[in-house]
Amino acid sequence: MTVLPYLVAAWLLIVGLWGVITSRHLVHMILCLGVMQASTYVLLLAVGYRTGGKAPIVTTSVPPSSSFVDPIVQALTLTDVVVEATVVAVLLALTVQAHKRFGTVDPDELGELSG
Amino acid sequence: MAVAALSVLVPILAGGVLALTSSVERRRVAAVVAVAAVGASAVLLAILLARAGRDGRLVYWWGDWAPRGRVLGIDFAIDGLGAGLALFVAVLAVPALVMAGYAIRASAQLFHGACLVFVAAMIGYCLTGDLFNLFVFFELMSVAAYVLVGYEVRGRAPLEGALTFAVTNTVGSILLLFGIGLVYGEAGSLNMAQIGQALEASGASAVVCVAFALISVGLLVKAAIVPFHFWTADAYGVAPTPVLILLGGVFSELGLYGFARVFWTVFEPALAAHHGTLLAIFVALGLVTGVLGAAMALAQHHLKRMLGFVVI
Repeated sequence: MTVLPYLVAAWLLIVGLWGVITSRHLVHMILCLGVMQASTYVLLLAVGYRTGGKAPIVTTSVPPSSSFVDPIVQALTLTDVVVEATVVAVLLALTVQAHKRFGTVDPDELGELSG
Repeated sequence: MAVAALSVLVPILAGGVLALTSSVERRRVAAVVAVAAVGASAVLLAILLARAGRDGRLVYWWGDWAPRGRVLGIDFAIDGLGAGLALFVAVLAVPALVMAGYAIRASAQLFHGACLVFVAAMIGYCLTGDLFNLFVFFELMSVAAYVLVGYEVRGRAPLEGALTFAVTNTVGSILLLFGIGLVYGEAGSLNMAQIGQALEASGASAVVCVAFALISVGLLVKAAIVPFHFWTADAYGVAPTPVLILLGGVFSELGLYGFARVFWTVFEPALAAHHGTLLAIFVALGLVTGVLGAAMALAQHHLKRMLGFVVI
Protein backbone atom coordinates (compact mmCIF):
# COMPACT_ATOMS: atom_id res chain seq x y z
CA MET A 1 0.00 0.00 0.00
CA THR A 2 2.83 2.39 -0.71
CA VAL A 3 0.84 4.53 -3.15
CA LEU A 4 -1.87 5.38 -0.60
CA PRO A 5 -0.07 8.27 1.20
CA TYR A 6 0.63 9.99 -2.11
CA LEU A 7 -3.01 9.66 -3.14
CA VAL A 8 -4.08 11.08 0.21
CA ALA A 9 -1.69 14.01 -0.22
CA ALA A 10 -2.96 14.74 -3.72
CA TRP A 11 -6.59 14.50 -2.57
CA LEU A 12 -6.02 16.87 0.36
CA LEU A 13 -4.30 19.36 -1.95
CA ILE A 14 -7.17 19.35 -4.42
CA VAL A 15 -9.92 19.49 -1.81
CA GLY A 16 -8.15 22.31 0.03
CA LEU A 17 -7.69 24.29 -3.17
CA TRP A 18 -11.34 23.84 -4.08
CA GLY A 19 -12.32 25.02 -0.61
CA VAL A 20 -10.16 28.14 -0.89
CA ILE A 21 -11.63 29.03 -4.28
CA THR A 22 -15.29 28.55 -3.36
CA SER A 23 -15.16 29.87 0.19
CA ARG A 24 -17.65 32.42 1.49
CA HIS A 25 -16.11 32.87 4.93
CA LEU A 26 -12.56 34.02 5.56
CA VAL A 27 -11.92 31.70 8.52
CA HIS A 28 -13.13 28.76 6.43
CA MET A 29 -10.78 29.85 3.65
CA ILE A 30 -7.83 29.92 6.03
CA LEU A 31 -8.70 26.47 7.34
CA CYS A 32 -8.78 25.20 3.76
CA LEU A 33 -5.29 26.61 3.35
CA GLY A 34 -4.46 24.56 6.45
CA VAL A 35 -5.76 21.45 4.70
CA MET A 36 -3.49 22.20 1.73
CA GLN A 37 -0.57 22.59 4.13
CA ALA A 38 -1.44 19.22 5.69
CA SER A 39 -1.16 17.63 2.26
CA THR A 40 2.46 18.77 2.03
CA TYR A 41 3.22 17.29 5.46
CA VAL A 42 1.71 13.94 4.41
CA LEU A 43 3.72 14.02 1.18
CA LEU A 44 7.01 14.79 2.93
CA LEU A 45 6.54 12.05 5.51
CA ALA A 46 5.51 9.55 2.85
CA VAL A 47 8.68 10.34 0.88
CA GLY A 48 10.80 9.61 3.94
CA TYR A 49 9.19 6.34 5.00
CA ARG A 50 11.16 3.12 4.65
CA THR A 51 9.30 -0.17 5.09
CA GLY A 52 10.44 -1.84 8.31
CA GLY A 53 12.51 1.16 9.30
CA LYS A 54 12.78 2.26 12.89
CA ALA A 55 12.60 5.76 14.31
CA PRO A 56 15.96 7.42 13.58
CA ILE A 57 17.36 7.30 17.11
CA VAL A 58 20.52 5.32 17.83
CA THR A 59 20.53 3.81 21.33
CA THR A 60 22.35 0.93 23.00
CA SER A 61 19.79 -1.56 21.65
CA VAL A 62 19.42 0.04 18.20
CA PRO A 63 22.78 -0.08 16.37
CA PRO A 64 23.68 2.54 13.73
CA SER A 65 23.49 -0.05 10.99
CA SER A 66 19.76 -0.72 11.34
CA SER A 67 17.26 0.50 8.79
CA PHE A 68 15.87 3.90 9.75
CA VAL A 69 13.21 6.11 8.27
CA ASP A 70 14.58 9.32 6.82
CA PRO A 71 15.06 11.99 9.50
CA ILE A 72 15.61 14.82 7.03
CA VAL A 73 11.98 14.89 5.90
CA GLN A 74 10.89 14.92 9.52
CA ALA A 75 13.00 18.04 10.04
CA LEU A 76 11.54 19.52 6.85
CA THR A 77 8.01 18.84 8.08
CA LEU A 78 8.65 20.51 11.42
CA THR A 79 10.15 23.55 9.70
CA ASP A 80 7.18 23.60 7.37
CA VAL A 81 4.69 23.48 10.26
CA VAL A 82 6.35 26.51 11.86
CA VAL A 83 6.41 28.48 8.61
CA GLU A 84 2.78 27.76 7.80
CA ALA A 85 1.71 28.57 11.36
CA THR A 86 3.20 32.04 10.86
CA VAL A 87 1.27 32.48 7.62
CA VAL A 88 -2.00 31.38 9.22
CA ALA A 89 -1.40 33.77 12.12
CA VAL A 90 -0.96 36.73 9.75
CA LEU A 91 -4.05 35.77 7.76
CA LEU A 92 -6.17 35.39 10.89
CA ALA A 93 -5.00 38.79 12.12
CA LEU A 94 -6.15 40.31 8.83
CA THR A 95 -9.48 38.48 9.18
CA VAL A 96 -10.00 39.85 12.69
CA GLN A 97 -9.36 43.35 11.34
CA ALA A 98 -11.84 42.74 8.54
CA HIS A 99 -14.53 41.73 11.00
CA LYS A 100 -13.75 44.51 13.44
CA ARG A 101 -13.74 47.33 10.94
CA PHE A 102 -16.14 46.26 8.25
CA GLY A 103 -18.38 43.76 9.99
CA THR A 104 -18.01 41.17 7.26
CA VAL A 105 -15.92 38.06 6.79
CA ASP A 106 -17.19 37.24 3.34
CA PRO A 107 -14.30 37.52 0.88
CA ASP A 108 -16.67 38.39 -1.95
CA GLU A 109 -18.17 41.30 -0.07
CA LEU A 110 -14.82 42.91 0.55
CA GLY A 111 -14.39 43.81 -3.09
CA GLU A 112 -13.67 47.50 -3.34
CA LEU A 113 -10.59 47.78 -5.50
CA SER A 114 -10.96 49.11 -9.00
CA GLY A 115 -9.57 51.83 -11.20
CA MET B 1 33.52 33.84 4.87
CA ALA B 2 31.70 35.22 7.85
CA VAL B 3 30.89 38.08 5.50
CA ALA B 4 28.21 36.00 3.80
CA ALA B 5 26.62 34.97 7.08
CA LEU B 6 26.74 38.48 8.50
CA SER B 7 25.03 40.04 5.49
CA VAL B 8 21.90 38.10 6.40
CA LEU B 9 22.30 38.04 10.18
CA VAL B 10 22.84 41.75 10.75
CA PRO B 11 19.44 42.86 9.39
CA ILE B 12 17.60 39.97 11.06
CA LEU B 13 19.14 40.66 14.47
CA ALA B 14 18.49 44.38 14.12
CA GLY B 15 14.89 43.64 13.16
CA GLY B 16 14.50 41.32 16.12
CA VAL B 17 15.91 43.89 18.53
CA LEU B 18 13.60 46.57 17.15
CA ALA B 19 10.59 44.28 17.47
CA LEU B 20 11.50 43.27 21.02
CA THR B 21 11.88 46.86 22.17
CA SER B 22 8.87 48.09 20.24
CA SER B 23 6.94 49.09 23.36
CA VAL B 24 9.49 51.84 23.84
CA GLU B 25 8.42 53.67 20.73
CA ARG B 26 11.35 55.69 19.42
CA ARG B 27 10.68 56.50 15.80
CA ARG B 28 13.95 58.29 14.96
CA VAL B 29 16.16 55.73 16.70
CA ALA B 30 14.37 52.87 14.98
CA ALA B 31 14.80 54.50 11.57
CA VAL B 32 18.50 55.14 12.19
CA VAL B 33 19.11 51.58 13.39
CA ALA B 34 17.26 50.15 10.39
CA VAL B 35 19.15 52.26 7.85
CA ALA B 36 22.46 51.44 9.57
CA ALA B 37 21.74 47.69 9.52
CA VAL B 38 20.82 47.70 5.85
CA GLY B 39 23.77 49.93 4.99
CA ALA B 40 26.14 47.55 6.76
CA SER B 41 24.61 44.64 4.90
CA ALA B 42 25.04 46.48 1.60
CA VAL B 43 28.74 47.05 2.33
CA LEU B 44 29.23 43.37 3.19
CA LEU B 45 27.45 42.33 0.01
CA ALA B 46 29.61 44.66 -2.07
CA ILE B 47 32.67 42.92 -0.62
CA LEU B 48 31.09 39.54 -1.46
CA LEU B 49 30.36 40.65 -5.02
CA ALA B 50 33.94 41.79 -5.49
CA ARG B 51 35.24 38.47 -4.20
CA ALA B 52 32.80 36.45 -6.30
CA GLY B 53 33.83 38.40 -9.37
CA ARG B 54 37.46 37.68 -8.66
CA ASP B 55 37.28 34.06 -7.50
CA GLY B 56 34.22 32.69 -9.31
CA ARG B 57 31.51 31.00 -7.27
CA LEU B 58 32.02 31.19 -3.50
CA VAL B 59 30.54 28.47 -1.32
CA TYR B 60 29.95 29.02 2.39
CA TRP B 61 28.85 26.06 4.50
CA TRP B 62 26.79 26.97 7.55
CA GLY B 63 28.07 25.39 10.76
CA ASP B 64 31.08 24.03 8.89
CA TRP B 65 29.03 21.09 7.53
CA ALA B 66 31.20 20.78 4.43
CA PRO B 67 30.34 17.69 2.37
CA ARG B 68 32.25 14.50 3.13
CA GLY B 69 31.09 12.31 0.29
CA ARG B 70 27.42 13.27 0.60
CA VAL B 71 26.07 16.73 1.03
CA LEU B 72 24.39 17.10 4.41
CA GLY B 73 24.82 20.76 5.22
CA ILE B 74 23.19 23.95 4.01
CA ASP B 75 25.26 26.28 1.93
CA PHE B 76 25.29 29.71 0.42
CA ALA B 77 26.44 29.37 -3.19
CA ILE B 78 27.35 32.94 -4.08
CA ASP B 79 28.01 33.85 -7.68
CA GLY B 80 27.95 37.20 -9.43
CA LEU B 81 24.23 37.12 -10.17
CA GLY B 82 23.14 36.23 -6.65
CA ALA B 83 25.49 38.63 -4.92
CA GLY B 84 24.64 41.39 -7.38
CA LEU B 85 20.90 40.97 -6.85
CA ALA B 86 21.32 40.84 -3.07
CA LEU B 87 23.41 44.02 -3.21
CA PHE B 88 20.66 45.65 -5.26
CA VAL B 89 18.09 44.67 -2.63
CA ALA B 90 20.19 46.11 0.18
CA VAL B 91 20.93 49.32 -1.72
CA LEU B 92 17.24 49.78 -2.62
CA ALA B 93 16.28 49.22 1.00
CA VAL B 94 18.28 52.24 2.19
CA PRO B 95 16.08 54.93 0.55
CA ALA B 96 12.98 52.85 1.32
CA LEU B 97 13.81 52.84 5.03
CA VAL B 98 14.79 56.52 5.01
CA MET B 99 11.41 57.30 3.50
CA ALA B 100 9.70 55.04 6.02
CA GLY B 101 11.32 57.07 8.77
CA TYR B 102 9.37 60.08 7.55
CA ALA B 103 6.22 58.51 6.17
CA ILE B 104 5.25 55.90 8.76
CA ARG B 105 3.78 57.42 11.90
CA ALA B 106 1.92 54.63 13.71
CA SER B 107 3.82 51.64 15.16
CA ALA B 108 6.90 52.77 13.27
CA GLN B 109 9.30 50.59 15.23
CA LEU B 110 7.43 47.40 14.33
CA PHE B 111 7.31 48.56 10.71
CA HIS B 112 11.08 48.98 10.64
CA GLY B 113 11.53 45.59 12.29
CA ALA B 114 9.31 43.90 9.71
CA CYS B 115 11.12 45.72 6.88
CA LEU B 116 14.49 44.55 8.16
CA VAL B 117 13.29 40.93 8.29
CA PHE B 118 11.91 41.38 4.76
CA VAL B 119 15.27 42.65 3.45
CA ALA B 120 17.24 39.95 5.29
CA ALA B 121 15.02 37.21 3.87
CA MET B 122 15.45 38.58 0.34
CA ILE B 123 19.22 38.67 0.74
CA GLY B 124 19.28 35.10 2.04
CA TYR B 125 17.04 34.02 -0.84
CA CYS B 126 19.49 35.42 -3.39
CA LEU B 127 22.52 33.82 -1.85
CA THR B 128 21.38 30.32 -0.92
CA GLY B 129 22.36 27.10 -2.69
CA ASP B 130 19.99 24.73 -0.87
CA LEU B 131 16.49 24.10 -2.17
CA PHE B 132 14.65 23.95 1.16
CA ASN B 133 16.61 26.93 2.46
CA LEU B 134 15.34 28.75 -0.64
CA PHE B 135 11.80 27.81 0.37
CA VAL B 136 12.26 28.98 3.96
CA PHE B 137 13.61 32.38 2.88
CA PHE B 138 10.87 32.57 0.23
CA GLU B 139 8.20 32.05 2.89
CA LEU B 140 9.84 34.47 5.30
CA MET B 141 9.98 37.22 2.71
CA SER B 142 6.40 36.49 1.66
CA VAL B 143 5.06 36.68 5.21
CA ALA B 144 6.95 39.91 5.84
CA ALA B 145 5.47 41.25 2.60
CA TYR B 146 1.91 40.34 3.65
CA VAL B 147 2.40 42.24 6.89
CA LEU B 148 3.98 45.26 5.21
CA VAL B 149 1.47 45.54 2.36
CA GLY B 150 -1.47 45.44 4.75
CA TYR B 151 0.14 47.87 7.15
CA GLU B 152 -2.46 50.63 6.91
CA VAL B 153 -5.08 48.19 7.98
CA ARG B 154 -7.66 50.78 8.88
CA GLY B 155 -8.73 51.30 5.29
CA ARG B 156 -10.87 48.79 3.42
CA ALA B 157 -8.69 48.67 0.33
CA PRO B 158 -5.39 47.79 2.04
CA LEU B 159 -7.10 45.01 3.93
CA GLU B 160 -8.55 43.45 0.83
CA GLY B 161 -5.35 43.94 -1.13
CA ALA B 162 -3.32 42.29 1.60
CA LEU B 163 -5.76 39.37 1.86
CA THR B 164 -5.76 38.75 -1.89
CA PHE B 165 -1.98 38.98 -1.95
CA ALA B 166 -1.58 36.67 1.04
CA VAL B 167 -3.98 33.96 -0.11
CA THR B 168 -2.70 33.76 -3.72
CA ASN B 169 0.93 33.72 -2.67
CA THR B 170 0.28 31.14 0.07
CA VAL B 171 -1.35 28.81 -2.45
CA GLY B 172 1.69 29.31 -4.68
CA SER B 173 4.10 28.52 -1.89
CA ILE B 174 2.19 25.37 -0.88
CA LEU B 175 2.47 24.13 -4.48
CA LEU B 176 6.18 25.02 -4.38
CA LEU B 177 6.64 22.92 -1.25
CA PHE B 178 4.74 20.01 -2.80
CA GLY B 179 7.13 20.15 -5.75
CA ILE B 180 10.15 20.29 -3.43
CA GLY B 181 8.89 17.21 -1.57
CA LEU B 182 8.63 15.33 -4.87
CA VAL B 183 12.11 16.44 -5.94
CA TYR B 184 13.57 15.26 -2.65
CA GLY B 185 11.91 11.89 -3.08
CA GLU B 186 13.41 11.58 -6.54
CA ALA B 187 16.90 12.96 -5.90
CA GLY B 188 17.61 12.21 -2.23
CA SER B 189 19.27 15.53 -1.54
CA LEU B 190 18.34 19.14 -0.94
CA ASN B 191 21.50 20.78 -2.23
CA MET B 192 20.66 22.28 -5.63
CA ALA B 193 23.88 21.26 -7.34
CA GLN B 194 23.64 17.69 -6.07
CA ILE B 195 19.98 17.43 -7.11
CA GLY B 196 20.99 18.53 -10.59
CA GLN B 197 23.51 15.72 -10.79
CA ALA B 198 21.12 13.12 -9.37
CA LEU B 199 18.27 14.12 -11.68
CA GLU B 200 20.55 14.02 -14.73
CA ALA B 201 20.85 10.31 -14.14
CA SER B 202 17.11 9.76 -13.85
CA GLY B 203 16.15 11.95 -16.80
CA ALA B 204 12.74 13.46 -17.51
CA SER B 205 10.60 10.97 -15.63
CA ALA B 206 6.97 11.70 -14.82
CA VAL B 207 7.78 12.63 -11.22
CA VAL B 208 10.46 15.11 -12.32
CA CYS B 209 8.07 16.73 -14.79
CA VAL B 210 5.27 17.05 -12.25
CA ALA B 211 7.70 18.42 -9.66
CA PHE B 212 9.06 20.93 -12.15
CA ALA B 213 5.53 22.08 -13.02
CA LEU B 214 4.59 22.56 -9.35
CA ILE B 215 7.81 24.39 -8.47
CA SER B 216 7.42 26.60 -11.53
CA VAL B 217 3.87 27.55 -10.54
CA GLY B 218 4.98 28.45 -7.04
CA LEU B 219 7.82 30.66 -8.23
CA LEU B 220 5.93 32.20 -11.13
CA VAL B 221 3.07 33.27 -8.86
CA LYS B 222 5.70 35.32 -7.03
CA ALA B 223 7.07 36.59 -10.34
CA ALA B 224 3.58 37.68 -11.48
CA ILE B 225 3.73 35.92 -14.81
CA VAL B 226 0.47 35.43 -16.68
CA PRO B 227 -1.74 33.54 -15.68
CA PHE B 228 -0.67 34.02 -12.08
CA HIS B 229 -0.56 37.80 -12.09
CA PHE B 230 -3.96 38.63 -10.57
CA TRP B 231 -2.68 39.53 -7.15
CA THR B 232 -0.19 42.15 -8.32
CA ALA B 233 -2.37 45.16 -9.07
CA ASP B 234 -4.38 44.77 -5.86
CA ALA B 235 -1.29 44.42 -3.69
CA TYR B 236 0.61 47.28 -5.34
CA GLY B 237 -2.40 49.57 -5.24
CA VAL B 238 -2.65 49.50 -1.47
CA ALA B 239 0.88 49.18 -0.13
CA PRO B 240 2.46 52.11 1.69
CA THR B 241 5.02 53.83 -0.50
CA PRO B 242 8.24 52.72 1.24
CA VAL B 243 7.07 49.13 0.90
CA LEU B 244 6.24 49.81 -2.72
CA ILE B 245 9.86 50.76 -3.40
CA LEU B 246 11.04 47.38 -2.20
CA LEU B 247 8.11 45.44 -3.58
CA GLY B 248 8.20 46.93 -7.05
CA GLY B 249 11.95 46.99 -7.24
CA VAL B 250 12.81 43.45 -6.31
CA PHE B 251 10.00 41.21 -5.13
CA SER B 252 8.83 39.90 -8.49
CA GLU B 253 12.34 39.98 -9.89
CA LEU B 254 13.34 37.62 -7.11
CA GLY B 255 10.59 35.27 -8.20
CA LEU B 256 12.15 35.20 -11.66
CA TYR B 257 15.64 34.83 -10.18
CA GLY B 258 14.52 31.86 -8.09
CA PHE B 259 12.89 30.31 -11.13
CA ALA B 260 16.06 30.77 -13.22
CA ARG B 261 18.31 29.42 -10.48
CA VAL B 262 16.12 26.35 -9.86
CA PHE B 263 15.68 25.67 -13.56
CA TRP B 264 19.33 25.95 -14.56
CA THR B 265 20.84 24.22 -11.53
CA VAL B 266 18.26 21.59 -10.69
CA PHE B 267 16.19 20.75 -13.71
CA GLU B 268 18.14 21.65 -16.81
CA PRO B 269 20.33 18.52 -16.88
CA ALA B 270 17.27 16.29 -16.56
CA LEU B 271 15.06 18.11 -19.02
CA ALA B 272 17.75 18.88 -21.61
CA ALA B 273 15.99 16.83 -24.24
CA HIS B 274 12.95 19.07 -24.14
CA HIS B 275 14.93 22.29 -24.01
CA GLY B 276 13.49 23.74 -27.20
CA THR B 277 9.88 23.14 -26.17
CA LEU B 278 10.37 24.60 -22.72
CA LEU B 279 12.14 27.63 -24.14
CA ALA B 280 9.25 28.26 -26.50
CA ILE B 281 6.69 27.97 -23.69
CA PHE B 282 8.49 30.38 -21.40
CA VAL B 283 9.20 32.92 -24.11
CA ALA B 284 5.51 32.84 -25.05
CA LEU B 285 4.45 33.34 -21.42
CA GLY B 286 6.91 36.20 -21.05
CA LEU B 287 5.60 37.89 -24.20
CA VAL B 288 1.98 37.57 -23.15
CA THR B 289 2.86 38.89 -19.70
CA GLY B 290 4.70 41.87 -21.11
CA VAL B 291 1.95 42.80 -23.55
CA LEU B 292 -0.84 42.31 -21.02
CA GLY B 293 1.00 44.30 -18.37
CA ALA B 294 1.61 47.20 -20.74
CA ALA B 295 -1.97 47.22 -22.02
CA MET B 296 -3.51 47.15 -18.55
CA ALA B 297 -1.08 49.79 -17.31
CA LEU B 298 -2.28 52.18 -20.00
CA ALA B 299 -5.86 51.66 -18.87
CA GLN B 300 -5.21 52.58 -15.23
CA HIS B 301 -6.02 55.85 -13.51
CA HIS B 302 -4.55 54.99 -10.12
CA LEU B 303 -0.79 55.51 -10.02
CA LYS B 304 0.09 52.65 -7.71
CA ARG B 305 -2.03 50.17 -9.63
CA MET B 306 -0.38 51.36 -12.82
CA LEU B 307 2.96 50.62 -11.23
CA GLY B 308 1.71 47.16 -10.38
CA PHE B 309 0.86 46.46 -14.00
CA VAL B 310 4.18 47.88 -15.17
CA VAL B 311 5.93 45.39 -12.90
CA ILE B 312 4.02 42.59 -14.54
